[in-house]
Amino acid sequence: MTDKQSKPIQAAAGSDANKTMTSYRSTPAVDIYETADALVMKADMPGVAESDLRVEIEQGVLTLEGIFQPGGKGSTAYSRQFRLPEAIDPEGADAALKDGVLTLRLPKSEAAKPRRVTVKTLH
Amino acid sequence: MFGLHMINEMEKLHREMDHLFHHLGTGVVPEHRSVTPEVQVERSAGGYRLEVALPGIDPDKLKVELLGRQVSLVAESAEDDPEDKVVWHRRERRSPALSRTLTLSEEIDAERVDAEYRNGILVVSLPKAASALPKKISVKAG
Repeated sequence: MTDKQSKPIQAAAGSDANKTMTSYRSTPAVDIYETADALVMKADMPGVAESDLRVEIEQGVLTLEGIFQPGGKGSTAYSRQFRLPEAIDPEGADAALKDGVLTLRLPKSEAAKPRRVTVKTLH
Repeated sequence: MFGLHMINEMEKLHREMDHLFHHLGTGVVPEHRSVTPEVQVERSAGGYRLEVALPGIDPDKLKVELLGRQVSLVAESAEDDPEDKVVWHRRERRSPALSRTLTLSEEIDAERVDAEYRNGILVVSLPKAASALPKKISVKAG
């Protein structure tokens, strides 16, 4: 499962002789970056509709799962899991799917956000 | 920055943990490279069907053109770079950029060509022209 560039839509591309339903497993490629107050993850899951996507955080483990099932052809199942740091607030997580790209925003918990400390000058 | 080295990826099959962040704390933005996605071509008795995965494309920047038997597909990536001052941890995604011209072996009915971009996948249906479809000729017996 290390093939990150697996072929999501190769099923049924062959000739009529190859009518078997093929199902592919794919590890979606991700971008992850950190801003001052959140972790942002983007995952490529082309073909997946909102109703076929599952994003779940349970006991500190983030699960991304999606299925692309074009009519009458094989399917592609996307799946990937990450263990999140404790400094993430799972309640504030926000996910959006657009044009086959999942954007997930995972806010840092209050304690993990940078805080400016006022420096008092003592005389 | 907080203890991001604590974030691990879980490999589903083996339940092994792998360090999630390769670029820990460097602040270096890895180069955003582009990739040319594969075009799947399916040919049937009635025509052709082209399918290409183009996640995150601005549909306005998708161009499908037909000239005779030549169909060209042009797609430009529309991804914006994130806000300033971010720390990158993974950058595996590649912007899909496409500029392909395919020559089909049969005439196409240009009026009935259909292109659709849905959930990051572009599907182009190209029905054959009537002149390219098989015609049954009745045999007269004298």
